[in-house]
Amino acid sequence: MGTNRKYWKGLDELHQTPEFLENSKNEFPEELSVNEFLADEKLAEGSTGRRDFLKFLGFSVAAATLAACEAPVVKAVPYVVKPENVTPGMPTWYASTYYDGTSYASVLVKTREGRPIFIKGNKDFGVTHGTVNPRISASVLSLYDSERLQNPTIEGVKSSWGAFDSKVSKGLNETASNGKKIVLLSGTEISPSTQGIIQEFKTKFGGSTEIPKNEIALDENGEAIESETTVEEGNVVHIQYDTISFNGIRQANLESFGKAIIPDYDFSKAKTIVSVGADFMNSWLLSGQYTAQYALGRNPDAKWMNKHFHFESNMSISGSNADVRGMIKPSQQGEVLSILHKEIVGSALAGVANTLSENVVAKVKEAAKELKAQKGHSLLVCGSNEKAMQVVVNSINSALNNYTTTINLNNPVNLFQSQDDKMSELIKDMNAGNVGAIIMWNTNPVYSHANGESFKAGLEKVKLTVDISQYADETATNCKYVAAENHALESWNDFNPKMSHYAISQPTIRPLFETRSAAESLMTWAGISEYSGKDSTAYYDYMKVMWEKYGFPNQTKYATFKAYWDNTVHNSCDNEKSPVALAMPFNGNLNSAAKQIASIKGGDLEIIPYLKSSIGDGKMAGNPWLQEMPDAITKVTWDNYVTMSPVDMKASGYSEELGQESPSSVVTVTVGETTFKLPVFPQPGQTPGTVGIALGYGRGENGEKIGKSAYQTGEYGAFLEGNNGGKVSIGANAFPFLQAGDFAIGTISNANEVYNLACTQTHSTVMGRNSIVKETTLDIYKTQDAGAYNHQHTLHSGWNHDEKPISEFNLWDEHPVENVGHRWGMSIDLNSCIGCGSCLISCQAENNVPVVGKDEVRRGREMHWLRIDRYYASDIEPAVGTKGEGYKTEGFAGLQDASDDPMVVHMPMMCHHCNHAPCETVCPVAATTHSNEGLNMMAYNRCIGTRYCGNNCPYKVRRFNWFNYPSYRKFTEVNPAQDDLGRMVLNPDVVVRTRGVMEKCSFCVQKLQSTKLVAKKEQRAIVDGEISTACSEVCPTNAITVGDWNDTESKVRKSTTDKRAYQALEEIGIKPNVWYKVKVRNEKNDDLAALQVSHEAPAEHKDDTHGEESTGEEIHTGH
Amino acid sequence: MKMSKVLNIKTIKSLILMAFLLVFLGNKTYAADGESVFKANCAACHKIDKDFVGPALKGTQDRWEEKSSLDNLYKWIQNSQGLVEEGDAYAKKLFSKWGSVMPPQSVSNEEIDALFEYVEAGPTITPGGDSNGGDTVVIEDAGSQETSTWLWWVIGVMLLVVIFAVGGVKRELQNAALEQEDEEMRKSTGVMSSVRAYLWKNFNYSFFFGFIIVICGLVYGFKDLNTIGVFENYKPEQPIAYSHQLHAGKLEIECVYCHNSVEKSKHAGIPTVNVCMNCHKAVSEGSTTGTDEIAKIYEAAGFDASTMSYTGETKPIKWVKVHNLPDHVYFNHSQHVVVGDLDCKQCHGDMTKETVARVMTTADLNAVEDNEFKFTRPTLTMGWCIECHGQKEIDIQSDNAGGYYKEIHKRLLTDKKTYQKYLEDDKITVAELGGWECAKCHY
Repeated sequence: MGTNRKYWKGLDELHQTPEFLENSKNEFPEELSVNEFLADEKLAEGSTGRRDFLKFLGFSVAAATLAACEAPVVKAVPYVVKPENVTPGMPTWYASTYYDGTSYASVLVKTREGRPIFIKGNKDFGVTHGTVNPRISASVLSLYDSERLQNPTIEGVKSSWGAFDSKVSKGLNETASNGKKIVLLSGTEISPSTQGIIQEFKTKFGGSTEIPKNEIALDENGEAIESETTVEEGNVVHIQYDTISFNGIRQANLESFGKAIIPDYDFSKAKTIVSVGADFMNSWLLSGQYTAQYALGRNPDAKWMNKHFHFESNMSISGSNADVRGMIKPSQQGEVLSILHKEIVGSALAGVANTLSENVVAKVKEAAKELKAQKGHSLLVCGSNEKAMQVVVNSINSALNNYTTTINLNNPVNLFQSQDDKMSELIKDMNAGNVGAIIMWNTNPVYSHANGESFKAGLEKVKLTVDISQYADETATNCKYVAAENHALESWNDFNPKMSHYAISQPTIRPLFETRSAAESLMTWAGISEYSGKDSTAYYDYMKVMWEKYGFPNQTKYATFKAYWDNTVHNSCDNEKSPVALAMPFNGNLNSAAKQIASIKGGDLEIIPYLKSSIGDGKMAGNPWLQEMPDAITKVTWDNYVTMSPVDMKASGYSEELGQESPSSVVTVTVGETTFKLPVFPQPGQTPGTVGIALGYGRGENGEKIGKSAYQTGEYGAFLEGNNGGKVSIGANAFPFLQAGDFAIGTISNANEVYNLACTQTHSTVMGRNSIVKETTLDIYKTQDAGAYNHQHTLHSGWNHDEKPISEFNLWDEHPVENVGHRWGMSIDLNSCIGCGSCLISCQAENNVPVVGKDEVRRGREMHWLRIDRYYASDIEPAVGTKGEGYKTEGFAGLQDASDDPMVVHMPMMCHHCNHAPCETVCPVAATTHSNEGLNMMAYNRCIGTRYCGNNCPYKVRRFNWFNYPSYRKFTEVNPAQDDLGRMVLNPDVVVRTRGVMEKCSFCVQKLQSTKLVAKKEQRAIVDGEISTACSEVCPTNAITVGDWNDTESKVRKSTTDKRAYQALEEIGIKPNVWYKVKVRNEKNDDLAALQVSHEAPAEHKDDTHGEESTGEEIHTGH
Repeated sequence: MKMSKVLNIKTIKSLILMAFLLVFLGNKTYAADGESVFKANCAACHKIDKDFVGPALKGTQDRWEEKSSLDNLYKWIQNSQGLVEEGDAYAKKLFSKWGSVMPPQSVSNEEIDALFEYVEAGPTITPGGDSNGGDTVVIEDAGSQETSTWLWWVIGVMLLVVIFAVGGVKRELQNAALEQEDEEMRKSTGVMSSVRAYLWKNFNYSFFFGFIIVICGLVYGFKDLNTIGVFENYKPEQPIAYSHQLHAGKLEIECVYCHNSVEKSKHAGIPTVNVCMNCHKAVSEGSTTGTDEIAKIYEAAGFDASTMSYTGETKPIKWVKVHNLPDHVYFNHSQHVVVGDLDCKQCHGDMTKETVARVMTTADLNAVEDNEFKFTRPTLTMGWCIECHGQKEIDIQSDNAGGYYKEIHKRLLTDKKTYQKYLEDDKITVAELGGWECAKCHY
């Protein structure tokens, strides 16, 4: 060993706090859950003695036995007329498209007997390369949310569509005849058909017949038309507003290149990537596409591997994957750009100060050097929404010749067309009483607008307020008319996410409730069609006409429209060639940009709102899968918090420990007039002087019906009661902070309260086991032998002390067919894994993994079959066994010094299906056994819940089913399976486990079996690539490869015999069927190089090296 | 066996049946020919006494004789369009009335004669006279069985009465004897105490029998406990009294015709109503309960038999599921039928002798001669599945094995030791390739 950095899972481990040491001994808490219900006060007060109890017990056993003798009558109801494409018991897949205003992806939807149950990316078609983020995967659960609006409502009272439509139409006509303004407000609308409907709507009610804005954007002379449109606005206006605005980029491109657009970025061509605060793998623009492209450039065996510099304040997903990460305050973004500009273009930005630390300046200069070295193949992106910053970015990219390769101005992205100024104007107009009617869809400004309060006040002054919404959310409850909207999986729609790309989404289920799509509502009110009920095809017909008129003539592939339409619906889109990127002269005004940047003033405490990969902008706050998904970096579930540098926390005296018994400190955050209280979370890598607060929380503060999981539950699963008797929302709404721009300046004070966070990271420890994560640098990888970075464990055996690799030793007999039939294997490339968490959600969906709620997660009883471990690294290599004084500097305590800016490794961890599985040998009832295909099988019905296996598992991936989650009352508010509707998302091929059994990753054995069956039925061998697990299917970076290891030509076999391949904890001889691949960072790291290169000592120094790592690894056998 | 059953038939019924058979014996040659002509050529569109796609056939000869001529009837049947073109008024009228052409039939005049002979006589010979008898037998059987158990009860009660009566008489006699001897009359003690006294007096006997009773109780109790979750012979009442015997047995409809996802999916599939309607659009009547039951199909399908049209108001049939596996078991029909090449009979027994579906007992399954595997464990238990997996051979060597098993065979050859072990009994079973492993069925 000794080839690695030290890793720790959290500051608790780092500091070795007493609580941590205590907890690390108790990974499976001893307390029996029985105590919980026996401790019920009522039970204690009762006069039931033990004798009575036994009587009851005896009686219930007898009663249960009797009841068991009755065969339950199960009904089987076949279709009257079976739909042609449905075979009961067989899944049907549909290609579709997901778009919710922030995320966009081409997807495949799996349905069983007409119920959508799983969503994965479409790897064959579309611009997102088959990537999905956790929110897209989890959206299938939101479909079955019984808290969705089930009917249209007028002033909160259920109504019929007939009455609803006639009232809305009447209201609109009145408004139009009074000459008052009608406002259509939506998130960015990228549906060409809906835009057509909006045009007709405008025509009907006296709006101008201007062409939709996104087509103007394509025009050569964007600016001129922009001003024209404001003149011709007319009575009806359509305003688009996004929760997260990227307007700065559009404005900057308008100034720089005369196009108010967001260009198409191609990260796969960038050999050097520099990001200044842009979390492009998670929340920045078309992050799905960028993630896939980024991963293509991360192969250390390819000709080149990209080098990724990241300068940011919060620890983001992208930042955690960077090769070089610099910590800056958000107010210093301009300073970074200034240095880059000086180094690359030649001139610094006048007036911009330099307050950056030397360390960061060096990193920025290195970045500039690398950018220049890869001129024409590099990319600089910036997360700021300030036009001035983006103008500087354009200038640098222009000087780097990137506009012909990595940035394409000729294929603009149509997403994120937020018109921030128009939105502010609208709020003023509404409050001035100038707006007669407002119709909203795909937006929730009362919650998500920085100025939500005044929007709400303005709504009261509008006579006709209509919200087309899936939930009676913050905005809908302030509107008179709420048109219940379909879930995306229930409606037809079309999309135009990029200029050259068009896509279709198709319904995969008939609307569950009396709802209809936004487009259908608009059509009805615009008088284009009459709504005929759930099965209305009005919008479908409209779409078809649009596609026949515009789409069909512009393609050459299909001869008839029918063929074109059928194929487009079948594939959801086509793989169009994107227009060639052409460089344009840069016309930006750098002087005014510099002035603007220089005017950005920092503060002592800068607050940065950010987006989590799980909750996003809060649209799906009611989705329990997403709430329970540990955050990619903090691993906290169910909560919102302030992330703060541990250095700052120590200075302010906040509790840095996290755990079941050590609650977090609560702080009061104040920005201007806004204050709220949140717990504070120690985040290594957070720039001192800054804090991060996730957006998307604090939903439903007035008890709106937006899904049960948006609210806090207490210890016994009941909703917490707020001050006014209502429910308490989770966290606080940070959207008001966006008012100030990229960041807000505020203060934080100790609220002298404590709060328990449910964090999954302190349950499993790494301790000193460095063979779990292996990492090296590209330099070492290219120049040294595998031994340097991928140390192979050996044992001595026999009288001659022959040294043999661990793989040649067997603790027990091998299973006979393990090496001859199938042997399912998995390889996970740590170099590709970015820790996004999509795999975790898809595993949950595929395997019916229960949601357990915050209280249970706090007890370490989360049920996720797959977890993603996140390890922080430091540059210090502690000497093992150091005591006394040395302990603080060279022992565990010594690691603290480097914790301020750690490197991060994400490592998916699930059952390793060890061929010599420690869990199998200790099971007293043989409930977990080994299959001849290398799987570690669980027979739930045989399991009696001794938990020996869990204790014996070196990876700690077994989960004990403490409760009957689908029926126990504690989980009523969190577990979707407690609800008739929520149960519809369950995968019928996987059993719902009952209480008292161990469960764990099964390698998606149901999928393996069905793939085998297909091959057997077709009388052919299994083709490599056919085998997949839920996690490997959705991985946006293809980090997970599964397949038949015994097929010597298979991808997984080749991957596992690669020189980077290793097995976690290989030295304990359990022979797992999961391999990892060494992470290779494209950085210069002398310390690591010194360690790894010196470790790869020549044979004569063997004894020395072994002396160094004599930590029980040396086992002599054969004596 | 059948003979003995027939003898059980109530005499009157059998006499009537015999009479019918005798009456039609004489006509048999003609009627039989006519019947085959009818079935081969006409039945698709015509019914004997009801209008269907075409008019009812009964009285056709009379109608043609009246309105045209019998010769024209032959022509009409052999080439209807020709007759219309010839300008026959009645033919034209028929053509316009029914709105479709009757396809030319290649039948001779004699055959046509035979056909109408059959048609005119036919309705009295209901097809399925045989099964009528069979049905009766079954009903009689069930009845007699019921009677016999009922009889036992009566006898039992009577015996009890006799025992008590005798006991009473004995006591009276004893009392009388005591009275004669002027001794004190016996106190009529409580039943329980007298029983107790009796048992005490005959301690050895009562202990012995008590012991036996307890042991028997335990043995039977244990046996009963073992049947928890065993649903052999489960035959719930179904919303429609469907007869497999008629459809699969007599009419020889393939199982897969109705259970058509058996080769594609884990479920064999209960036929959807539109599958029933493929035939039952035409067949609206049955010999015994059929007419009522078929009406239920029409109701479910939203079919109006009088207008031969669908109303659109459907009402799915709620069948009672018969073969229930626990949730934690994964079973796939297509795996067994397509890959395993098993016959339905192996697990479902001979359904051609059953009415509504039933979970067959092991004895039933073993009674099917064609069945390759014989069972000892109760149907639908894990032991039963395992038993078969242990016996079923997989052909992994021959060319018929297909690509999948060829590949497995190729790999097995690399580990001769294991291969030899598997081949010890000259066959490779499902179990040897992993068919006894938990995760093959439990996930």
